[in-house]
Amino acid sequence: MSTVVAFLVGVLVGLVGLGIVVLSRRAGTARVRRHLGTEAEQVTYETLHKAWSAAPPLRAGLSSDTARKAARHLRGLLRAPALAITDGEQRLAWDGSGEQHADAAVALAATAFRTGKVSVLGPDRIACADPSCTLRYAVAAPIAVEDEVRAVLTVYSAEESAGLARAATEVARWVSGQLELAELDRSKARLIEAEVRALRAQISPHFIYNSLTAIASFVRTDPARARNLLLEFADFTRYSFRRHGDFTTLAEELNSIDQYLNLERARFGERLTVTLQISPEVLPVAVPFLCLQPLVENAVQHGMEDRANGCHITILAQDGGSEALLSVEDDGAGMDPEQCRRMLSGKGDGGGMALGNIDERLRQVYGHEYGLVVETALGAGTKVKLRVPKHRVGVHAT
Amino acid sequence: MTSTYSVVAVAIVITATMLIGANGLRLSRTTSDFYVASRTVSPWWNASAIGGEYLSAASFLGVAGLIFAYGADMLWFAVGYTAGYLVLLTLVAAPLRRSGAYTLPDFAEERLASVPVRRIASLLTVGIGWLYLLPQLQGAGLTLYTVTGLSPLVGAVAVAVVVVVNVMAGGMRSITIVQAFQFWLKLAAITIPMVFLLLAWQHDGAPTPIGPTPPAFTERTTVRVNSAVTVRVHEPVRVTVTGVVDGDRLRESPVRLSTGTHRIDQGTSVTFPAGAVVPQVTSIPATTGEQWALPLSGTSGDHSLYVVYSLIVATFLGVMGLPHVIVRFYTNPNGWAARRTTVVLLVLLGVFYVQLPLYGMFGRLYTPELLMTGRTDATILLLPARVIGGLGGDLLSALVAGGAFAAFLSTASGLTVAVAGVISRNTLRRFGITGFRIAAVGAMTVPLAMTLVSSRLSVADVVGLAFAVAASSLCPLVVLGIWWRGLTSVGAAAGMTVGGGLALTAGLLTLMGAAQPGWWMDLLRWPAAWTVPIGFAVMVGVSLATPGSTPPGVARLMARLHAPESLGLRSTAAREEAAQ
Amino acid sequence: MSDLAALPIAFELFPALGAANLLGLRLPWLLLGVVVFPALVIGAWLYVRRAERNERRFVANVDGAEQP
Repeated sequence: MSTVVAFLVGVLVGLVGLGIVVLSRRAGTARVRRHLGTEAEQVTYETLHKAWSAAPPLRAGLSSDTARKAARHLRGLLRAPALAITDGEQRLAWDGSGEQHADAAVALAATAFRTGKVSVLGPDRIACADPSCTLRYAVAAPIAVEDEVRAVLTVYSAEESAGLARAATEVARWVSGQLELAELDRSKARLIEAEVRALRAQISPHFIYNSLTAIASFVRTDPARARNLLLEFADFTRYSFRRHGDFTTLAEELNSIDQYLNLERARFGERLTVTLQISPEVLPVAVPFLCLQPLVENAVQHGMEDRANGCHITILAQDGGSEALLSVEDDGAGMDPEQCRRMLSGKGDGGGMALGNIDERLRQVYGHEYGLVVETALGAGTKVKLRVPKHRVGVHAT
Repeated sequence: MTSTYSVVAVAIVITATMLIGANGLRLSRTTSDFYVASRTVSPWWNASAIGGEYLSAASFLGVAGLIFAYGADMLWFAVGYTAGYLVLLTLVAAPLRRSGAYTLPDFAEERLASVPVRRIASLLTVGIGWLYLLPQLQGAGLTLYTVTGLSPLVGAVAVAVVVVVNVMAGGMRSITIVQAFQFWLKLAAITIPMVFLLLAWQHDGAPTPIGPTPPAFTERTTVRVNSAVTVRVHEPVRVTVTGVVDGDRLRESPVRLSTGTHRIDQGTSVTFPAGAVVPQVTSIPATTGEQWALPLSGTSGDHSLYVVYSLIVATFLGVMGLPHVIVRFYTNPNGWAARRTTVVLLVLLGVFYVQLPLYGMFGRLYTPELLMTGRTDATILLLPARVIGGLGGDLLSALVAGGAFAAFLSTASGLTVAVAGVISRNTLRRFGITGFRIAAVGAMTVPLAMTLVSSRLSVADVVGLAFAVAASSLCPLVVLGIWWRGLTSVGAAAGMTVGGGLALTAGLLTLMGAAQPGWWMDLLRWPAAWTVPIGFAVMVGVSLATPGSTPPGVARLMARLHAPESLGLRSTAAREEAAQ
Repeated sequence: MSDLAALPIAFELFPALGAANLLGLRLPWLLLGVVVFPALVIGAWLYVRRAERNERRFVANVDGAEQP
């Protein structure tokens, strides 16, 4: 019997421990709630919390799916029996009781949609045969993004209330704010896309000139090699201009780096040496397009610029459980850490654009803890490290 | 029976594991040749690695022990542990790889775009991992005890410490080569002794355990009982006892054991004359050789047919839910490689498992005393020395012990890494590597605590529970997620919770001994036959009832899961690779 | 696979099968202890071959349609 008890204790300890860790966020919330003082403070807290819960779906823009998710929280915010979100033509979401009114929601919202002003509707517009239905009044508040009405928030209630009308207006305005932020997000993403395209196009003219010159030097002495290099060059440029989406496998990125290095080696010969340590387990990982290759370009530039005796580049790719750990290291001139910091925050000049762009893209896709880590000092070489999770929702190599 | 060779073998395995873990870096190819560096893992290597991590204590010791004790019905364990991969191949392998998911919670999030579903899948993954870790620790304890006589707790703690230290020191790297090597070591540790055992058995006149009589001691044997047991004696027999039997403390005294049950306390030695029938622990129904060889003969309980089918369901469908297996499929570059890896794996596993029934038979012939102590799992460890004897027998025993320890270490490492990864991904993400290390300690602490408080849990039961939970919760998630467009997040959450919860509850009740004998007990002990259909039914039913919560973009995702690689959706390089 | 799953029922309904001898071994042991493993491998290999053939045909169709 004591064995059974001891076993039970062990299991409970484990479950409780896990439960505490996993649900710690909610536990934190409960603690806060107990220590909150007055009722007013509690209400404020709950309101802000509900608003915060409604925000994430709206940040993705307004669609029937996001509207549905947000509607639930918004209804709780307003403590209304029912709530609808409609755009000019159709109902995007309905939350609460009284489903029979749902189809009429678009018509009710028409005035608000057209005029861009809040409209209050009484029982004459909101009648229904069901005696248990308590919906009598409604407030329709427009949701406008940059002065253009995109949708209408219709809040139903059992009695007429000026307070509810004011609250509905404020909530609609808040939703508008979220949608504007969503637009900003999209602009930001488009901007980064544009930068990537610029990066792609930025196979520097110097590189083209130098590579072709180097290839030309082989045409007579080693025509087979010259031909190979030309093919590599063609493949390399084709990879760089490829349009198939934003992600590629690490194997392909390494392939492109290989082609690039072959071309550079044609120019520098034995002065440029490369060491690779690649764990095969991370080769299938989906990485952002051109997240590694510009780093190798930088390494080659730094390494070869003021040393006559060549440079050595080390590329590492290791398996880190649920992440891939990548790094590019050169034994060149190194950088002033201050200058490096400036480049990472986007204030650098053309040469540093790659660093900042890659850092920004990594953070955008995977989160703030996944930015680049640069270890450098003047005269001590440079090592750029990055981590890529093996899986992220929506990230697929194409 | 302390065997120095075996201790040395175990020590070598432990040291080698720690060295490889510390210096693992050197094994990734250092080269200046991109072509060499970019070779992805081939199906043979990956299959060996999966096999290396998959063959655990249950496979190495447990299955043979079960066949030895309970007979023909237990053959289904070996079959199920292998056939589960055929199910995985046909239903899951390629689409799961194409989804890009690294773990099953990843797949849940990808398919259903829901964080709560991910959390539930993570909780289940951690739970299954713990349930699977527990028998590894126990098996290690049993092995060390058999080999050195040290308390079983020592072995368990040893494995726990070695694995955690290894993982924390950077053993996150699931180095394929190391695990592949482990598989071939385990295979050798099983096959080489088997060759010699077969020769010795042939030399012996190839006796068969199938016959009208129950197993008997071939010669005068002293059995030392190391934890209290209740045995059933079928014919009266005169023995010599030192210790406590039925409450009487005796010293070198002759005793006549009458027919019926007797209680033998810890530390007692009982000496039987040659030819005496072996008394069996009451939990093993006494059977003649004939009954042992017959399927569904009641040796595994009154409802053998139900038990067998429950076993089949659990093992066939549970493999796809094991955390350390799924993450290895990510190493394949594409869906086609994933499929081929699975085929190779079936070959490797077949070669291993086909030998276990033979071990069970040899156990019945040559180590029958284990039926009395109840520790039939130890039969593989004891057979070489017993049958072959001399230096050869000792060396072979050492090989087996080393192989067994390799099994525990590699499976325990794989599980710890997988479980720690899931824990740290969900809760300790901002702490990065430190978070992973903390999670690794946590991942091992719970099973170790459970081992320390209870040593009487049967290895096979706990593993069976792990499979049942996986089959009732994660299997429906994966199968429906891949093949049914209508799966919704609410449905998935409900199905996983209900299926997994029922299986877990049934299993825990059994393990705590709360089940009463009768059909009720069989239902709880082998719950898969009813928890799996319930899991599927709830998932389907709730999904149909909540059509609104299907995530957007499902059609596109499903297309990606099922579209072959060579389609224009992939790039040139992948196309060339797939065409090979 | 369905043949495999039907074995226990077969043994229940026809106990004689359980005691039958084939090649010197009891039938259940022969089937479940030896024959099943190569059978699984062959089944798997046939499945992979068929799946890959289907997929290759599908791709040839799609790619063929893309290029006018």
